[in-house]
Formats: sequence, C-alpha cells, structure tokens
Amino acid sequence: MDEPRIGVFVCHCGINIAAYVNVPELVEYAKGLPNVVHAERNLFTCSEEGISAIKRGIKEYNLNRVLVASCTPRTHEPLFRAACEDAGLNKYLFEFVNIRDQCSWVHMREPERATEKAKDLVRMGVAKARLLEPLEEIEVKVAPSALVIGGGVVGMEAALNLARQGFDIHLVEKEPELGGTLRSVYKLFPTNQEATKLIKLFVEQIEKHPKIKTYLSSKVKEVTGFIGNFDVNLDGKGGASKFNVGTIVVATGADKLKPVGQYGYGKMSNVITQLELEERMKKGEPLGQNVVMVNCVGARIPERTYCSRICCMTAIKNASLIKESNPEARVWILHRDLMTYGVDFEKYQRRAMEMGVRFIRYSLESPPEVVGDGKVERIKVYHELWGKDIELPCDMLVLTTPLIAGEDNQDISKMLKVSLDEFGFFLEAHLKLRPVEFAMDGIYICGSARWPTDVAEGISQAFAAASKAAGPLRLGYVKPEAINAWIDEDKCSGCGICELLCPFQAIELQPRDDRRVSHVSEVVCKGCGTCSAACPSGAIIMHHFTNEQILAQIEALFS
Amino acid sequence: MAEFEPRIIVFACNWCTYAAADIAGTNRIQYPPNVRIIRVMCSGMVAPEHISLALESGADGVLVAGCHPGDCHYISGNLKAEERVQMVSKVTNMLGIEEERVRLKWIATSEGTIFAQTIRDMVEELKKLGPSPFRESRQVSQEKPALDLEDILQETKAYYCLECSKCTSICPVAKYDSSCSPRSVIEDVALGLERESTRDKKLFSCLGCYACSLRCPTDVDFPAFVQRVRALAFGADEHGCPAHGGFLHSVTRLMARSPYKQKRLGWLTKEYRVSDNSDILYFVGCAPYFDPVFQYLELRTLDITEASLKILNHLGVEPMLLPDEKCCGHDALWTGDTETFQRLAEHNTRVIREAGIKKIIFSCPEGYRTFKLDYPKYGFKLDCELQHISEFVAGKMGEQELKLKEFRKKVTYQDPCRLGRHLGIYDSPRQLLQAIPGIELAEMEKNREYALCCGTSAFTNCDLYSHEMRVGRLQEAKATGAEILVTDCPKCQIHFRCAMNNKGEEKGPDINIEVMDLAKLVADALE
Repeated sequence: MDEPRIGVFVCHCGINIAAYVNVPELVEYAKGLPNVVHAERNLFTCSEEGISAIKRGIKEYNLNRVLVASCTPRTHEPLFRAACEDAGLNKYLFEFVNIRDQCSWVHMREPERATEKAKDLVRMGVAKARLLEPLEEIEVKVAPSALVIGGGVVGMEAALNLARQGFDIHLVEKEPELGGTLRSVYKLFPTNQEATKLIKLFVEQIEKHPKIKTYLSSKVKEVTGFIGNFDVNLDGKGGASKFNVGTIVVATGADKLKPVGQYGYGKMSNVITQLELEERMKKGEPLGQNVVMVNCVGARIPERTYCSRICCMTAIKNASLIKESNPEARVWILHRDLMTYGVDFEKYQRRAMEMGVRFIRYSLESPPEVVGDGKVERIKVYHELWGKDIELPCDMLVLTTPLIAGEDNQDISKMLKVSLDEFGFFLEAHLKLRPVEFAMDGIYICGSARWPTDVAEGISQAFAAASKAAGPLRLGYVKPEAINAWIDEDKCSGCGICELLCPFQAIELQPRDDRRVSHVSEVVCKGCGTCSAACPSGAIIMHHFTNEQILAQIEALFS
Repeated sequence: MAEFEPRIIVFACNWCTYAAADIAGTNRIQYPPNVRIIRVMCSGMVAPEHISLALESGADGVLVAGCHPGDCHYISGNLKAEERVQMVSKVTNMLGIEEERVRLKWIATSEGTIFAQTIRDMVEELKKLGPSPFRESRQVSQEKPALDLEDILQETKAYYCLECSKCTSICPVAKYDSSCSPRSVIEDVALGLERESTRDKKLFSCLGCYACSLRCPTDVDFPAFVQRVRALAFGADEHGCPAHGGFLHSVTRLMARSPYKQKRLGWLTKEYRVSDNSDILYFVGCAPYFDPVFQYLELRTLDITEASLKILNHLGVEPMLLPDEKCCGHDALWTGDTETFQRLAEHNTRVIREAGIKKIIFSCPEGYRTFKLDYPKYGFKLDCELQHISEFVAGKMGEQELKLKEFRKKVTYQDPCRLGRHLGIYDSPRQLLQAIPGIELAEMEKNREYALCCGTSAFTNCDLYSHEMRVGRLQEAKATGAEILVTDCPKCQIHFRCAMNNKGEEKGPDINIEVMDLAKLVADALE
C-alpha cells in the first residue's frame, strides 16, 4: 500500500453541527494531522454537492483514504462508501467520524469543549484511516432450490410459496402423511373451518405442483455447507436421498404435552386433553352433560414458565362447539388469565359467553381439585371473588396443555448449527430485527417450531420465511460480509480456542501439511471479532477492526 | 486551577450502544463531553489488551458497552465481553486500580437516556477519584539502550562465534522452524547490520532456553545476547508478536508504573500461616495475576502458591509475604523492555531490603532466575540467600522428616529451562518426587540438561512451532507410560494445557496427559 493520503470532509449539517462545533477551526486542525493532504468543509456532505466534493477531492489530491466527519455511519456510511467507489477508491478505505450525534447535539451548551472533542475524534479517525486496508467482497453462487423441513400447513405454505416463485423445493415430513399437528384438530378458531378440509386444500396443491418433491416418513440426516450451497442427506422410507439446496426453511412445529399424573390424567377415564377431545368430537362421541376445562395445565408454572398462547382459544373454541352441538350441556373453563388477543378472538370469547360457556379464574396457589372415585365426579375450585371453594359437577374433565419444543429440536439444532432458546424452541437471529431468520445465513424459521402459533400466524410466518429464503435464490449469489476474520496460518498454533468461541461455528481446525490450523469460512463468518480478541498467538486479523487500528485510535486520543 | 476533566474511552458495539449514543444525539440529551467512542462491531471484539492499553495510555475510565444479553447481533459476543471485562477487572483490581475505572454496561439502541446517564455517572465518579496516575507515568519513549551492537558483541563474546552452527543443530525452535537460526542472528549482529538484527521477527522466537550453550564450543552466551539485542529492537519499536494480545506485558508495565497499593493477597486464608516478622520471604510472583487470565485452561495457578505455603508451614516455616511485591520483570527483560524491568527490580529490591529479609524462597523458576542472575547484573543487589522451594525442602529432608502419604502413580518430570539449564537445579525436584512413597519416576527420553521446552517464553511469538514443540514434548511424556507430567513452572503448565485444549466435542485434543505442579503434588501428599 502506498503512503496514506487522507482527505477529511467536515460537514456543517446546516446548522446542526456548525452551530455548536467550530467547523473552520476543525478543518484547519485536520490539515495538520499526519497523512492528511486535504481538508475541507461542506454545508451538507451528503448532498449532491458534498458527494461531488468527495469524488473531486479523491481525483484532485490523489486521495487513497477518505474521512467524513458528520453524522452516524448507521445511516450515511453506505452513501459515502458509494461515493468513494464511484471515484475508484475501495469503499473500505473510508472512515466515518460522528461529530453530530456525539458532539454538537449532545454538548450544545459547551461549544468549545464540543469542538475539542470533535478534534479528538477526527484525530482518532485519521489514526485509524492511516491503517485501513482495501477489502474485497466475494460472491458465492446460490443453488436455486430450497429444503423445507416439516410438512404441516406452515411447511406446506412455505413450500408452495417458494415453488410458485419457480424454485425446486424438497419438502420433508417425518410422518407418513402431510398435515402435521392439525391432523388431530377438529375445527379451527376463529372461523370454525374443519382442519381436515384445510389440510386437503394444501395437500392437493402440493401434490400437483411440479416443482415440489415430497419425502414422507423421512428425516434429514445430515446437512453440510453454507448459504447457497447446502448438501442435504435424507433417510427415509424410500431409501436415502441426497441433494443440494441454496436455502432451508425449518417448519417442524411443536410437540404436545401429555399431562400424565395431573388431575387424574392417565388414571381416570374421563380426563382427556383438548386434542383428545377434538378426536372425540370429530367422531361424534358423547361427552356428557357437564364438561369442565382446566387451562394452563403444565404451562406458566415454575418448571415451564411460558404461555403457549394458543390454548386459551382452543379451549374456548371447543367449549363453543360443545354448546353448539348440545345447547343443554354445561361447560366451565377454569383459567388463570385469558389470552384472547385481537378483535376476532375477543369477539369469539364474547360469543362463547353468550352461548353460556362459564369462565372461572383460579390461581396457581390454589389449583382446582378432582373429586371422585375411579372417575372424576366433581371439580372443587376456589372462587376468588366469592372467597370460598365451589364444586362443579363434572362428566368430562378436559385439560388444556401447552405446546412444547419438538423432541427432534436438539438434533436439528446441532445439524444446522442454529440455536435453541431456554425452552428448547428454535431461536431466531433477533426478535425484532431478523424475526424469521436464523443467525446462520440461509436458514429460516416459521410456525410453532419457533414458538406456539395458531394457523393464521403460522401461515403469515411461512410467507415471511419463504420470501426471506427466496431472496438469495432469486439473486443467484450472496456477498458475505467483507469485514470478517482472517487467519494468519504462519502464526496459528492450532490451539483451537477460536473454534470453541465462534458463535456461528464458522471456524474449524483443519489439517494443513502435517498439522492443524484454524480455518474461517468466509461465507459463514459475521465479523464479530470474538475470536480475534481471544487468540493467544495474535494469528487472527479482524478485518477493518484490527488490533492495530483499535490501538491506533487509543494512542491518538492520548498523544 | 481548572477542574479535572476525566477522559473516558467507550468501546461501543455498532448495533446497540453506538446506536444508543445516536439516539441520545437525535433527542438532544446533554451529557458531559468527556467520552470518546471507539466503534466496534461487537463488544465481544474488545480484547483485554484494548482495555489495559487504554488505561496505560492514560484513560481515566474505560467503558465496554454492548447489547443486553439475548439481544446480541452475534448471538453471544456480549457474554464473551462480560467474561473478558470481569477477567480484566479482577486483574486491575488486584493492581489496586479503582474498580470504577473499568466498567461494563448493557445499553440497548432505544436507551439513549441510559447512555447519557451512564456517562454522567461515570464522569462524576471519576472526578471523585481524580486523574489516573498513568497519565503522568506514561512511557513516552524508550530510553536509548545503554548498549549498542558492539557492546553486545563484547559482553556476550559473540565475536568468538565460529559459525559452526552447533547452536542451530540443538535449538528446539530451529528443529521445527527451519527459518530460525541462532547462528545467522549472531552473524547479522557481527556484521553490524543493526536494522536487520532488530527487525528479524525470529529474534523474538528464541526461548532463551540455553540449549545452545550446551553445544557452543566458544561459550557464546546466546540467550544473553538475544536479551540485549531485543532491548535494541524494543527501542526501535520492534516487539515480535506478543502472546495473549500483549495483555500480560501491558499488566506488567502498569504494575511497574503504578503508585497504587496492590491487592494481590486476596486469596490468602487463615489456613496458611505467614508472619510479618519472619526474615524468610516467600516470593509469590505472578500466580495471583495469572489465575483469572488462564481460567479458561482450567488451571488455577494459585494452587502452586498455596501448595508451597502448605509445604513451608509443614516444615515449621511461617514466611513473610510482601503485599507490595511486584512482578520480577522476567518477561519485560526478555522482551527488551529494560526500562520496565529496571523499575520492577528497583522496587522489589528496595521493599525486600526494607523488610529485612535474609532468605527468599521461590516456587517460580523465572522469578528465581531473574533475582539470582539478572538483578545483580543490572546493579540491583540483595544481601539474601535465594532458594527454589525444591532446594529448600530437599535441604530440610536430612534434618526434618516430611510426612508423606502414599501416592501410587507413575510420573515424569519436566525440567523447566529456567530452573535446569539456567540455574543447574536438576536433583532437588527429583529428590522431592522420590520422597513420596509409591511414586515411580520415569524419565523422558530427553531429560535434565537435554530437556525440551514448553515452546514459548516471555509470552512472545507463540505460533505453530510452539505448538509442535509442546506436542512433541507431551508425546515424549506419554511415551514413558506416566500418568502425570510434573513440572514446577506455571508457564510450562499453561503451555502444555493449551496444547491439550479441547478441540470441540467430537475431535478431542491431539494428546492428553495430566499436568501438575511439583509443589501441588507434594502438598497433596502431605499428611
């Protein structure tokens, strides 16, 4: 690299900066810093005029580093980087100093000290800029196909959506037929549509779609590779299969909790779960005159603190359906709180109350008790408002249980290198910023595999996941982060600390000659630098945030 | 006089705290202009040495700030940052640096007010503490070394070099790294090529293990020669590649310049008897500092210290421990930082003289060597008897009986280079081992003066060759059939354990053998 020739562009930001920071003084100061060959000020560096000034400066002064002192890189870095690129300068030779959010706006009452701080920040920025190095972004080809794991309605929706966009889809279901959890459900809230009809609708489309290949009674055995290029191995009824996909959607759903040992479940014949109730209703079996439902069985307890969200509505739906088919029946729902969010659900609950479904609140401290010999005869529950125990006649006790994390989640999480949360559900990269994506690029999540969802939510998520998964497929390539870790193999001692630390499992010790050295997959690496901060040999260079660059900033501040 | 204005460095993660500072900006939340933000992608990127070097440079406070747990853009980088800051805080607190000077805080994007408040609080706290003493004592530039190339040639008799390459033939580094040759290092100096000599990265690969001296027909003191040339290189801002990011060297420099009272004896419990009136000093050395740093290797260096005290107590010795003892300066000296070394040596000899000490017992071979050979050479004289704990105990064994339980194990012994070839102590550690009933000592193929090295010295240039040296030595140990590799240097332990660091769930380490300190083994066998 040639001797650094740095150009400094200080922005007035109208009056936003210039009213509090002495911009002309700052420009003069910048001119005196090492390797700064040009400094100027612009009314708005981000304006057409400012951008041309940067481009002109690069040409006129033969700049090989550009520093802009203005606002935040979080909004304006792409713009200034693009200006550098337009002028033929690698965009990583650009450095940003924030003198608006960090100086003028927050030290308005101390303009002199704000100016001094701005000088310090510019000096630190120049110190880093001197050490910047150009980085190249690589392109990785993406195979135009996807794997969808899980053939419930959510998985099927994701598969259909992707297939309709023209990609080859491999849909894998571990059961002998498609449909997932909904296969045991009677009707769906809040429309009371029959679940089997909905499943049929999906299955028909799946079956006739030429782009979808379905694998029943099959499990994903092994996945290797990274975004754009995952190699998948299946184990299934029809033997093993192997294929290559660009992206993966996980829609494996959740398991149902069997409340064995609670409220006589498993011992007393008239104690069943909501899903078992739905099976009976489907077959039209009699349920008795008095039905009591207990919500939150096995949920929101110290061992399982979460709310499964969909069970309240399930109970209300089933209670309403009982009342619809037999208005004389008496149905009580014993609950702790009611999760009936949104307009439709609230309406649905009011309708149930109008139909005669009765709601009684109980607390975790005094749960309902079963009275009866061999079978449930009555349910005793402490009525909080009356302040006393009441007894309800009971011919059928229905327990409302939460969805729990799928039993395969552990295996899948290891295989795909994706995270699970504390309850064993899959965990997306970021709750708000990247909701249906895993931290591992190219793998997406939807439906109850992430968290208990109802059908409508699950399908919305399927659309979201499918559109995310389609992005790289449509583009045909991905450009991994250029700000990533790089191993100096001559220094690497092969101790393996980095491999243990990497949150993305992007680092692996690999044989090199007759030893093992760390290898960073530049496609998988996200550039967090956790490895470089721990390397005992100083063998890991964290591009764009190298040790030397960070230390130069510290050094410059105190020089 | 103007009011003291603290200077604070904030390492802010790009996704949360840097954004929070932006939010403080857009909302015009005013806070004192005492902070300078260094943007990092993730708080997990902030290495221990970034914090210690900021302190060394004169920062009055350092704040590492990132996303709340669970919010990290990189899954768990913030948790790594937390571990690191806790480790650094343990070390800086031990140095006596006020805990308010190093902070960790989770500040989310939306928390502009919290960012501003954190800064206000820090500025207020730091104003109460006053300026960092390191602002003044900051090392501006290395003094010109007292010696030039010609002096070095004279002092180490390197001009006698016959260029026979016998040194290179026995050099453990050269065995693995063919580009490293003691002979050519000497040649550069002999030809007066100062630039070439000091810039040679391999200059910092020498372990100073004295294997070369076994072979040299003309008695050239190559390690001393290297030590001197490194001082020249240091003056020219050449440092080799410091291991562990240079954090340990930075801590040594902080210690050398620190006016603070250390809190280095926090581990000392009533279980161990020490006396302020004793004229026998037990030199604790770096063990308390190494302890938090090398926790990740499941190594507790203080075990060595505690074991040594247990042994001394067992023999009826209640030694003095100096709360203001400092690092012996070994690593500073061997990396060319003679200024730091001299500061440390001056301090140690002064406090030891003031305490009226007649005898110093060491468990660390490096401390022992440095006191015995380097302090006098640099004019820091002590009128004390110096002994390694194994010498002391072996000496006592004639008069006093060590009551030792049976310990039925086959062990092998690693001679640390500083204890063996530097000081010629080979017998007393073996005597101690053999005093334990049931112990079978199996010697490695290369033992005593021919012992091989742990691969890194002075925490510099730890590379693939270092690893190969370690694995080679561990293979030798394994070949004896021993269950335990005993050594008495904490660094040997650190390096051997690192070589056996677990490589993920399935792969496992290259080789596996238990590594243990001699003092610990003996102390465990005491009845």
